[in-house]
Amino acid sequence: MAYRWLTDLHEALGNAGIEFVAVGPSSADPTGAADWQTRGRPASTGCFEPEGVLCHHTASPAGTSDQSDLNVILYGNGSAPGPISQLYIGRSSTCYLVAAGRANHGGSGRRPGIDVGGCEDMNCKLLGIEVGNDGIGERWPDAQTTMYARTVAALCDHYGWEIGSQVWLHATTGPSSGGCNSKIDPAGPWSRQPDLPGGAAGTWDLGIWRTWCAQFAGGPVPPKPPSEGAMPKVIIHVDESQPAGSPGYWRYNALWTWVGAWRYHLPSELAVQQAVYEFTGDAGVFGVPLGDIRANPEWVQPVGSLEGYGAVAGNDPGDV
Amino acid sequence: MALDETQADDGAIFRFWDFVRDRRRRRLPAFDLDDVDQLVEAVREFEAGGD
Repeated sequence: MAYRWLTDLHEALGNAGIEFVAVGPSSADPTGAADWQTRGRPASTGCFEPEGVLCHHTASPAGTSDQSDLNVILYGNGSAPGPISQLYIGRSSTCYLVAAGRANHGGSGRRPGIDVGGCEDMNCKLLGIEVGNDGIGERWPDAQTTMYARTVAALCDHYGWEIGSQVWLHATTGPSSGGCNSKIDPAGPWSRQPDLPGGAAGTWDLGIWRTWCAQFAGGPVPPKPPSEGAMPKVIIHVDESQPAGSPGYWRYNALWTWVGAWRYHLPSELAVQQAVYEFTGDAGVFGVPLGDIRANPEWVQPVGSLEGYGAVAGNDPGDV
Repeated sequence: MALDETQADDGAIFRFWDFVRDRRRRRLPAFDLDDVDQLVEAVREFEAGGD
């Protein structure tokens, strides 16, 4: 049985600009590992050859702290010793790197169209992400589902997995595919499904989730500010020499972030949203039209603010 | 008999959190699960099927 330690998980996240907390030694960890890179279920419990991502929720009560969730994930219990997942995202929207090895998250399952012979060991085949939510009606904060989707996309980008065919919900490996488990996760209202067909505890739609994750795949990594506090907002310059809708619209009618003396061309509306999110931490920007982003002084500074950043305001047409 | 971990999933922690919720409903003293010692005690009670 092959067992692959994903000791480069930090690179998968880092390459996508995702900040994370590396979980170090913990008295809650039954494996006694010194760090996340050596943490995992022992090879005697099964293989680990991940070829995709399995998405979960923790089922912890609303208001549970990240630390409590994390302790439960590290410790597990007699039916499923920890670690329970390789990654965890808390209600704070912080991403935690828990384990590079096998984890007890998926159990027996069946990926539709793949596991045609019957139930397989999902703990071997898929990397698990647990995310703090009760799954029975607690509204998922937008910042948290954005971090969730960015994390899934980053993993797929790094390991070459297709979001459209290698990202799964725990529930879709169970009852709907032939009954290998009885899980409902992830469930509960989120930005793309505020009114779930199954009610407040309704399971997410796999197609909608994959589409949302795909928006974050392969995108440009927003540049980081030179130092903490030096750039409180994104400064955007709009060159309106090319009219909207023309072939060169995104190429020339550009939006730029400014960091120090450098300016970066953001080639799409999503890239602008990512840049604003990166600089301000406000996930509310996702889904907001470009015009509204430009008009929001909380997110965007006028070009006059470029003074002191090595740029001269007003030199290009369309300065705002 | 050794646990078959090919069958183990996060349903185990779902049930644990149900246990925590049930204690809260019955107004029993809450465990501070930020504290690993209390977590271990809570899991022990959960697995014993007690309060």
